[in-house]
Amino acid sequence: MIVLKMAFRNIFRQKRRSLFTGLSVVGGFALAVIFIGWSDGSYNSIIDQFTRTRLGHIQIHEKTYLDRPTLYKTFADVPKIGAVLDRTSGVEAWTPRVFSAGLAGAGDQSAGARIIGIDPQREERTTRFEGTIIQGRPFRGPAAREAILGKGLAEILQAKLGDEIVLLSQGADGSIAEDQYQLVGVTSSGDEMTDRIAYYLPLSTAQDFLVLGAKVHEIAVVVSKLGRVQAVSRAIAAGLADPALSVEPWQVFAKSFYDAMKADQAGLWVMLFVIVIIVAVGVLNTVLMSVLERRREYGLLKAVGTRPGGIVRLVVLEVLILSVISMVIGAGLGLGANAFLARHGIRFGSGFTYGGMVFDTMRSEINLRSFTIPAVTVFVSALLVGLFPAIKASRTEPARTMRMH
Amino acid sequence: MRKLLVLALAALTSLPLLPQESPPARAEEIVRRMDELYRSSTSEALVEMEVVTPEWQRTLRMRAWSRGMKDTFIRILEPKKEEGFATLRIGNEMWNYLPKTAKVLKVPPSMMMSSWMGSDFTNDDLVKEFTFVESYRFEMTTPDAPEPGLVYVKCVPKEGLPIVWGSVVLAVRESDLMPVWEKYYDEKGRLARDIEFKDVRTFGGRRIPATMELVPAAKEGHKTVLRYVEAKFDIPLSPDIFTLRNLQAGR
Repeated sequence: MIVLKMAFRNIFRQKRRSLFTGLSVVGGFALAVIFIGWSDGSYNSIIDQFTRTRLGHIQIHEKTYLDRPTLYKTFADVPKIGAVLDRTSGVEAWTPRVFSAGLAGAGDQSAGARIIGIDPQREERTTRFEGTIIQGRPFRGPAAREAILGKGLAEILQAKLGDEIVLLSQGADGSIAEDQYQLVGVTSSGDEMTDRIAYYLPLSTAQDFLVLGAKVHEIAVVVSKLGRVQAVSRAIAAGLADPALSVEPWQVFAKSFYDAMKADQAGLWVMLFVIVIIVAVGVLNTVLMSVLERRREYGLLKAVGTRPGGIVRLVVLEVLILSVISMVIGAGLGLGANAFLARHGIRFGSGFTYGGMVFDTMRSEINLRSFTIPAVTVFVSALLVGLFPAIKASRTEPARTMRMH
Repeated sequence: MRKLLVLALAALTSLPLLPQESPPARAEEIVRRMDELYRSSTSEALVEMEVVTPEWQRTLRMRAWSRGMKDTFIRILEPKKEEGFATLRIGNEMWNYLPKTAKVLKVPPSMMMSSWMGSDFTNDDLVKEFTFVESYRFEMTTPDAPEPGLVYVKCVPKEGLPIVWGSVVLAVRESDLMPVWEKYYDEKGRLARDIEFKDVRTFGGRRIPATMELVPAAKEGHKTVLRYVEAKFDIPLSPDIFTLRNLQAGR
């Protein structure tokens, strides 16, 4: 108990020294909190935007579709699968889709197109498709003879709302598929590559055009919590129990995106490591200085009978008390900054592109790990850093050090 | 008289002693024939195309006109659903006519390597933009297991040309230089496609293999067979055939 009392007394006796040590910890801790909150926020918003607005969090396909997608790798029984999805907890919404490649034309212009057949209502509930329509309106119904084009494709074709857009492709029976649909909307998904080729048709219209009957290529599922994707994905697979289907979370079907994310996350850890080193060096510096200038004091302590272990405990305790106080202040600062960034975000003038998506505002995220990770690292590093000068202090020779001044 | 006979005899006996056709000249003769096999100044043909895939099988009947190496016009006659669908290719440019919508659609350059009408032929195959004689280096070659009666020519594209193949090997009959097969290899030397020529028949005084069977190596279960039902060569053709107006006319 006396050690604790002495530790506190030592801290408050040298206010300036304690302030400097504390400031380096406060600064480092707050920096780490903001840094983690900020990058988690950015990653999650990128992932959420990437998956939710386009791919869905989970996708269901014929089992070999992802290896090599073709027009023929379809599955039927959408209502039955839908019933399983509706029963699975954690599933927020789902939507069936068909895909093919074709040639689109308007006037004298023509360009390769990716035909995407969507269920207008379900797509809206799942990916908020209507929110991406920047011109015109959504489809009237699942069998409307209407087309919505990606912004880029509409520009290439120089197509205006109301124009008939010719489409040439091949049906699943090998026949030539050709027809024309009225342009009712232009969409901007945020992904320029997609928008340069996207030719959306209502689901039934697309199925008729491609001679697919009631078959589809994909069901995209959105879950209510991003963190539960893998568990929900397993639950769906178990619920379907169909070996002819594959149920994959975005980490699998968007593997290159996931890998890019992971690589960037690795970069985050390196940054965090650098921040911790800076904090640790700051703490070491101030603690070492304070120990060295107090050698006489430790000599005296030993002379009056304090054991080396007692001195170690005293110095370490001082460091820890200082760290805890600093962390509380740092946490407050970090929380405040993150709360501000979470609400307002930082706007980038022209936005930046990541994975083909354009982002213009990045927001912070307040989560538990943005506090636990810096807390543990700062605590451990302060302890390790404090230990060295503490041991040095404990080895002080009383007679020699006391004679020094 | 006697002198004449001696001369004639000398001429006859000396025949085998004449220098044989040199190998490069022979290779050139083979590739030139290959280039001109189904073409000439003009041609008109009735062709059946059978496309076999693991998912479906269908046969199209079409009439095709060609002029030189670069211009082609094809109109589909059967089946009913595709009747009237037409393709016009002039040099590097290509258009399709879609009968249902009565529209003409230009095929962008990026889609030249796409399948033509769901077959294993590409849009680019419709014209011989690159002839063996002009765009390839060629030499006689002997494969690992040569068949008796066949001779082989290996063709490698000249540098700087947008040709997707690494090399092409032609096999022709030694007796009449009639093509037997053509194997296309990619840049890594893997077989990409194999065309077999069969059923040699005479059309309008010209002997050609009436059946051409294309098997792409990468696509299992796929096959396209072209059969010439009728063919005429070097006939007068109206220049109007190879026009957008004719394409748009729709039948």
